[in-house]
Amino acid sequence: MALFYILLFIQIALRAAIAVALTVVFTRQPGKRNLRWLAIVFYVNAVVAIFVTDLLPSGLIYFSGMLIAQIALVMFIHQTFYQGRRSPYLLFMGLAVVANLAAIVMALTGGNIKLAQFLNAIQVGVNWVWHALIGYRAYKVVAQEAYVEDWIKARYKMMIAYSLALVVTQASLTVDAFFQGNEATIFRIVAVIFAIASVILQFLVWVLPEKFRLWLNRNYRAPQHMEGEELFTEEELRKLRRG
Amino acid sequence: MNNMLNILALDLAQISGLDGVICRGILRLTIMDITPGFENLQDFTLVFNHLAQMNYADWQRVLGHEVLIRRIKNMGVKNPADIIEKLKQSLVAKQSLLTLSTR
Repeated sequence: MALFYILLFIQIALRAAIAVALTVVFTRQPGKRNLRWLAIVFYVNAVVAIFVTDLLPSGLIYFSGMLIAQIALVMFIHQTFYQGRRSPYLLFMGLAVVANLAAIVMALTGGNIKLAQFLNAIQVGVNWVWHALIGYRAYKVVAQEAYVEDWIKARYKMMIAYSLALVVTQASLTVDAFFQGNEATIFRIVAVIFAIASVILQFLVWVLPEKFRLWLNRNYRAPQHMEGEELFTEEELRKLRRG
Repeated sequence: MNNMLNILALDLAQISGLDGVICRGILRLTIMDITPGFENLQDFTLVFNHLAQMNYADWQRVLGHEVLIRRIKNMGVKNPADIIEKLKQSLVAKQSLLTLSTR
């Protein structure tokens, strides 16, 4: 049990660190509005994790937090991958609202908490499946681009990996909702392991320590022909063309 | 190195048949033309810092601007409007790069 709490607090600390790092980035680059949504996901997840410990039992706060975090995740995915094209974000937003509101109502009325946890886990899992699929689709488009550095391609792959790890986490929690005793413990252990793996990957993706980034990029060589371009004027560019 | 600029420049080169350096120059000049205070700037650190902060809406504005059509036409390229439509599709497909290359 002590190990469970240690791992939980590590997750809380890492999520808080990620949220702060994202806040620093979008403060410096206010145009990257989608990162605000992602920061909200990590701030809220860091806080609601406290309510998983049973130290402060409060399903209402947990499910309310999850509602906010999942809406924020949907908005992040929408603004990162779907600008200029049709997006299913309203569908995923609707699922998040319905599932988490149902869970909140159950928490408020003393209803079936296992059912509430089940609904929440299913809905969260669906969001991470969507994130993994759209992340993979986006990665395929840039994977062969010579001008996309290796650290960026690695970021895509880690993002897909943590999305999948969170799908496993949610699947384990979904199954856990139906078991008691030792079977429940096994699924809970699986959920904790994959949750830890996912938060470590999330830290590497969004905090991206500089030494790690340089290591990821150690074999990258930029294509030569674009280098050395000074600030040509249009006339100079036309001369280049004629030459 | 600014990823989206290089990638769109390469796409423009492939679509138009122009050299990549020229395409990069055209895009960069267009951005400088339409960004207040950048019109005659010679400090490319400031230019590339601005490029790094551009979001999808900024790039959409660049690709939709008549200055870009004019610059492409000035290079002797036919059908600049068709070329720009293809560039816009490229931006949509690769938009996540603007987030994943942020640090």
